[in-house]
Amino acid sequence: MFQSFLSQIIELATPLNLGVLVGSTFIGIVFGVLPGLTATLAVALLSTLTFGLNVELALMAIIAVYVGAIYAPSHSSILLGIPGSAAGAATAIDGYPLAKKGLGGQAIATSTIASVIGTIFGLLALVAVSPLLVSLALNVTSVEFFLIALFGVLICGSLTSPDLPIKGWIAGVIGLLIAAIGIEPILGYQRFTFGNPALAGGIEIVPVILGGFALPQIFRVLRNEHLKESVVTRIGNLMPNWRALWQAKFGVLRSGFLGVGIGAIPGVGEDIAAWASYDVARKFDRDPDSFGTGNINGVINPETANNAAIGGSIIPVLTLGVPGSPAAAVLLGALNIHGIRPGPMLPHEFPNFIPQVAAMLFWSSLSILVLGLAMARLSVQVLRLPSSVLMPIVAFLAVVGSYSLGLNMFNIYMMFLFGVGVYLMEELGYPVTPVVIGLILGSMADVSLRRGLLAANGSLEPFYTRPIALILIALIVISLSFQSKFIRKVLSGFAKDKAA
Amino acid sequence: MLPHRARRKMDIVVSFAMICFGIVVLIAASQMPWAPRSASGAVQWYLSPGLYPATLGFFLVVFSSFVLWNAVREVGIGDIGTMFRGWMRNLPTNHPVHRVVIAMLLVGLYIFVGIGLAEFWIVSAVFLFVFIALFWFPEPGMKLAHRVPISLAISVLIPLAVAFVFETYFYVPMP
Repeated sequence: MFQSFLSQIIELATPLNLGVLVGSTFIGIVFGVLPGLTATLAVALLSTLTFGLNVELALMAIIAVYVGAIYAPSHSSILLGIPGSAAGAATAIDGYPLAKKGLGGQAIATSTIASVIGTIFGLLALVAVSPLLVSLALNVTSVEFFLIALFGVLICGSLTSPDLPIKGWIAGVIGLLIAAIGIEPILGYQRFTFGNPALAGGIEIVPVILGGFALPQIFRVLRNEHLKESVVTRIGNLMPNWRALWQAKFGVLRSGFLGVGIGAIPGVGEDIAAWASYDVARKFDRDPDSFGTGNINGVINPETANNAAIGGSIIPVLTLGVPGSPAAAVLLGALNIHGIRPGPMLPHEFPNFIPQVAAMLFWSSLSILVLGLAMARLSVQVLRLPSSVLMPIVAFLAVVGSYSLGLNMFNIYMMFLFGVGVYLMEELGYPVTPVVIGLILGSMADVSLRRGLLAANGSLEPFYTRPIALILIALIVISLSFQSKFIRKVLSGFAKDKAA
Repeated sequence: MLPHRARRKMDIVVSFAMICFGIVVLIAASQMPWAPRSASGAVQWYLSPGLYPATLGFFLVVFSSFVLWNAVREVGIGDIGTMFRGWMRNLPTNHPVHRVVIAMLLVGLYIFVGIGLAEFWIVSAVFLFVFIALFWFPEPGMKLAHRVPISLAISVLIPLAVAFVFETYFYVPMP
């Protein structure tokens, strides 16, 4: 795998590929810099632009925009104190005080190096872990695939819900239900189509993603239009703080592992990786009280983790067909559009695919190194662009993107209705990510459940006799139990008793 | 997100609606074929197209019941009407809500009324200009005399450029 990865690095280095890479990284950085435009949205919008391209070029563009958009929120976090998206939120706590001290350029350069290291960490994990996961996944039957889908939706719901975890589960169930619309694949029965032929083929993923991530964001940004007051315009010297980077080498390593691990959990993503890494870095730091006042470790650690999470979130996409983050969910949708079905059979159908994706991550990391530093001063100008001008453009692109997939107006109507629905649900504390993950995994869950039961003549025995199924059921039960106040109270009681 | 207490009050309404929705899903699933037969004539209930939605409908009812129970326990059902009337009374001065409603209406009008009325790029240019004018012109800063030509240029050039790229290079026609 590693040898194939190295040869892919060379094979991908054609002028056209590198041109697309640079252009897409640029778009990703612009999206990441602007508050309100997320990596998921950038990947979703660019996916619609890549329908006409060949798979290699399309994937290069999507990966580059993904990496660029996860890295660039650090620019707005440092210069504005407001992250471009949730992935850069932790960086703002120490990045902005550094910029106010005149060290904005140094903070951006250091965060760029940390992001490059994080991305490379993630791609190395992708190359190393994927073969193991694929060989494990080849022993996975329909029963386990159903449980993986269920686990993915429930854990994503638990971890992304801003209110009660159970609201995240409800959101996931709604996503799974939306996936049930249309002609079901086993008996060809039309479910929930109400005689509408536009629903017979099921709900397209791209309009739902564009509606779910673009429109609510537009409404929220326009509602809270008060962000442009305090952009730091003098960024100073653009040299990384090499000494701090060297001193933080173990922290970087730890953040890389954290990023990959959290990224691989279905639907959780880069923002939680960054927060977890920031929190752990503060706990391990010699001077934890300096966090929040401009400690460079508060920039290095979350930036390493959020970019490492990219590789982590791609691992389950390629090996199991389960997305590790919302942006990875869009990536999975884009792969399906291009006729690639990720899963355990992927390395057999396309032996070079995983090394190729890793090589694309490598080139993207170099691209953010060069463009990220070159665009640091441009970011100051980009951050001055008014949201009230950018948001209608995003709405227009979402309309074009929704239409261009199936060339029908129904997708645009779906996008709008879904966007308004998601905005209202998010106001009530129901997250959107489990809905999207549910929609993507719904078909797999449905077919796997029925095939699993068919193989056992309707018996539930495989659910509790197969070791992998048992492990998955245990994981589901444990993760659900931890949401219970009673269980948490019992556990904290035990911990207190032990401490006493 | 809504403040905690208002959110819990809304949870009562929304989770009740979700329970009703879950029951509708269960009823719809029960009306799907539940007795597909194998070649030997044996009933294979587990292949029914209703199994999956019925399972999800069941989960939806159970989870929503928990949210309802939690909300009722935390805030009670007493003053939902009072809270709603208070929100309605404050609506005329609630500018954030105005901005969201205007944005929703503009996008809705563009999608449901505008597209198809004229050439796509013309409708899109009008949409962009009206949107920018409503939200950007009242903001402090640059003079209006500068904002108008900038907005016009953006509104016309972006739809034209996007339509050109999609139609020429990706062979994707515009709506």
